[in-house]
Amino acid sequence: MKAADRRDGATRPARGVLRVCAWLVPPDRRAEWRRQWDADLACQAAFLEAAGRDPRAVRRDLFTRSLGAARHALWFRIRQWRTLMIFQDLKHASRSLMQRPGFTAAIVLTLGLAIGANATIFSWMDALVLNPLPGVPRASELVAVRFATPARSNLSFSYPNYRDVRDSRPHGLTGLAVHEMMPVSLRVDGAPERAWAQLSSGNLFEVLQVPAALGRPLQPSDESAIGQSFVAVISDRLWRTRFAADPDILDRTVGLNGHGFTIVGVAPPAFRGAVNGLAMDLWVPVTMHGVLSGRSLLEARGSGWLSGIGRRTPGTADSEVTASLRVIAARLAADHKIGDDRTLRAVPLSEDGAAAVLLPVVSVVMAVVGLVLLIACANVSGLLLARGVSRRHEIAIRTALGASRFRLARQLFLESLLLAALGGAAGLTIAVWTSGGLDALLPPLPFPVLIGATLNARVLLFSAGIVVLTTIVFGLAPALHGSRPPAQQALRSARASTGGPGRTRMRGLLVVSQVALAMVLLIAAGLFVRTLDNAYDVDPGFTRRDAVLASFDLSSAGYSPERGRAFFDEVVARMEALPGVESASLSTMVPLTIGGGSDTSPIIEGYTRAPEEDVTVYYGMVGPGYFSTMGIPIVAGRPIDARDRDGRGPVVVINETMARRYWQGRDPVGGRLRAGADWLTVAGVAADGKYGSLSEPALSVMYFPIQQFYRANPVLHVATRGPAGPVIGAVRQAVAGLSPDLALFDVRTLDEHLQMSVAIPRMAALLLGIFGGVALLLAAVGLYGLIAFVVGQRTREIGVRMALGADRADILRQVLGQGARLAAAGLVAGAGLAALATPLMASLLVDVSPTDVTTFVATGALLLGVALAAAWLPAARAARVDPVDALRAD
Amino acid sequence: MRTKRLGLGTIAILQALDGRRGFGFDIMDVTGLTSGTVYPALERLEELGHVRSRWEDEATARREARPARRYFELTPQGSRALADALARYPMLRAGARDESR
Repeated sequence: MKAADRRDGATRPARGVLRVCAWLVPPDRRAEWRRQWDADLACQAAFLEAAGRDPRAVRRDLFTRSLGAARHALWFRIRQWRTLMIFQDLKHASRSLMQRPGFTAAIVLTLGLAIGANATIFSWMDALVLNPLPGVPRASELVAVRFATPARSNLSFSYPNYRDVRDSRPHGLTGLAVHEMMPVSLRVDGAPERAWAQLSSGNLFEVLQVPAALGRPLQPSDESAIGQSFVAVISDRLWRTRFAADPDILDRTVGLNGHGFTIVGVAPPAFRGAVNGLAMDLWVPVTMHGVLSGRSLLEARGSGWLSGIGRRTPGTADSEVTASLRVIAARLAADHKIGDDRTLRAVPLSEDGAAAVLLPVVSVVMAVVGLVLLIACANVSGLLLARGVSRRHEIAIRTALGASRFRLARQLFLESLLLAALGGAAGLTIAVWTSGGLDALLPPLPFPVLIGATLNARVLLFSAGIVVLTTIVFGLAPALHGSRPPAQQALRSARASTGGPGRTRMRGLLVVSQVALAMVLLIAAGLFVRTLDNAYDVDPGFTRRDAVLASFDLSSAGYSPERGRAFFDEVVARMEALPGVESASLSTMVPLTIGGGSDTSPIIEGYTRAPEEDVTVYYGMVGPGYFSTMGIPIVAGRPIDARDRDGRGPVVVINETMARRYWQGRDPVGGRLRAGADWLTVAGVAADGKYGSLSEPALSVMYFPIQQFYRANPVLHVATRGPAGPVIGAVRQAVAGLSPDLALFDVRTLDEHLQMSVAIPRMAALLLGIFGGVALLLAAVGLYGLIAFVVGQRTREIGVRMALGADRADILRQVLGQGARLAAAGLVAGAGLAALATPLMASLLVDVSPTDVTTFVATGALLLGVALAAAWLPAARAARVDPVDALRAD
Repeated sequence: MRTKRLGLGTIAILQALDGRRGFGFDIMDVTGLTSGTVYPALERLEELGHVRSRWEDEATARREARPARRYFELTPQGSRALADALARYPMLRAGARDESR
């Protein structure tokens, strides 16, 4: 019995192969085929075991041998096809599609767009959810480990807490690692640049099971002493871009925030780090945090800043892991007073972070493109039915020559399969371009975002599945209908053979809803196009246009606030000495920055706030000369200038909206407000501007002197006399001359920055325009298919009318009228829906009403034009009907 | 009867069955061909009439405590085809004798 069990285990993978391959074998041969393979495998297993071979080797041998079963099975299947003459049918099908290239192209394009959209969205979903951490084996075993309180569920680890939890060896986890990303100033040779480091516990690569492609990964010994391990593992991307893939890279030293680190390894190409959607440049031991940042959090038990990631022991449920973590958290709470309500929990990576946010969005989009595919299928089905009518003659001849109904249906179905395969190929061609589009669509973000969606095996398999499914959905009805013998058809009335008026009405409804959908999408796209147009005319509140912006972070270069303040004065002086520079200043707040800006609720002297009143005021720290550099008018009092230094009475400049709202006619200059601990005197009032987006309502804003309220990471603003581009190099050089280890990042011209403020409307216009265009095309194909079908059905009737004296113009007008009525119904429905939907996006529109009449009318006219063009083709064919032929045909 | 020339792999299989009966895996071992080549080739040879297959006697198999196997052997026509092939490729003849066990 034992030997039998063992043999059973040894043949299991091979039997798996057989089970799959068995589907390929024609049913009449299947049992015998299976018996032959089972017997051969069992004998081989017994023979190898008797020879005393290692069980693993036996399993591998049997598995390798079983792979041939696929070709064996295929041999039977192909022979069956040959006898069924499938290949002749295929040849015939491709010839028949080639005969009408326009018709074929319309279908292939329709299916291609729909399949391409599905493959694209699926590839995004794949990258975000199904394969969250590229380059990490068995990522499904990974869990995010977080502290949680009743109020918040995703709190981070402090380093001491991490060490305690890790050393308690939570049951069900093979290991627990932590990581946190940090911008660093990387210096290879020459100028420093900004890079993203992942501070990692020494076991991160071990837990993720990622080996090094070159050298070694980080290892637990790198974490043994605080501030001692000056080692780094670099990403494949950094290795290629910055070191020209130098094979002798190991043991080279690079500068990180001014400290020398030795490169000990290069990560594998696919590996990007431990966070979904972010691409790190290098990994350094977490114990180097103090060295890199200037203030170590490593000893602070109360500061959570590290994200935990663990690998489940195979076969353990998340709940078991969480249960074991809870015990450890309780012990930790008792030992170190970290808070009694704190506990630990493990969640799958797909429910953590960006994936959790994006999954619902992508799921909805997936459902939408699924719907698009269904509509495309309905339309293609309609086209094929229309064509079936005009192919009656061919079918009749084939029936007369002895083709069975089954054979004819198979022939028609095969044509559908061929169309779907061509559509699939077209769709994948589209998807090759669009799957990477998610990264291009994202607005510029201050993180190293890289979704990196590509067409992998899973996406290809998914697309192949779609092709088969679509063929069944759109091909079955035309195949059954088209193959019905003409004699039988002739016996019935014309109505019955088309599925009756109910069917046509259904298809009419489908066309109407497609037109409506296209209308809604195109109107929305049109509104965003108008927004883009208007955006350039909006007054942003500053007159400066030519300037260089450059960000830096003094804390990453180890500056103390005292040295930082001195640096601010020096850097501005150096900038102003450059040729072509008019003036320079600093600010933590760059106008029109999406999602930027800090806010606070100040207490304003002389203003009583209502009980529930929201007193949110946005603020930024600015240097002397900021307002003149940016061309922001000062309407009262004085701007912030060189007098406003540390040690002098703190001042603030407010904007007009704030002055109006909180001083209500009183003179704000000389007034006082409290922000944080300090009372500040209002020195002046600046003109209003646009701070976050061009479409925002008027916001209250305060400007604090940066010399009094120190921030280590302001943006350098350098106003130039001419175009800013040529000055960028000089700015970089001058900063490098002042502080060689300081990395400048996000160096751009003000003009480039302002492009960002229109990124969202541009993205929306682009996406909606693409979807709207696809919807328009689908609606046109649907309308064409329906009208063509109806005309085909009515050929005889049209013939009678013409014989009775109707002229061609009458027929043309009548058929076109039918198309126009359907389109008009769609337009009205679409306009109504759009009027309901567009107010939802009012906050994104600039100077255009959500129900802008021009946009609605122009979109309607475009749609009507396309609809009439789609109806024109079959209408013209109807008008060409020769009454004699039409009456003789049946 | 088709007179298509046999490929080297097919000839090797015929050689493996020369004067003895064999089943899939042991033909693989003798010829060094993969299962993906041997199994379809055996089907084709049977279709051509060069080999015939029969299921082993159940009783024999049970005595040896294993399932019954599908055995292949040369038909007279197959022997002739093999002889023709060996006459065409004399080099194969020398190897054939050493390989048979």
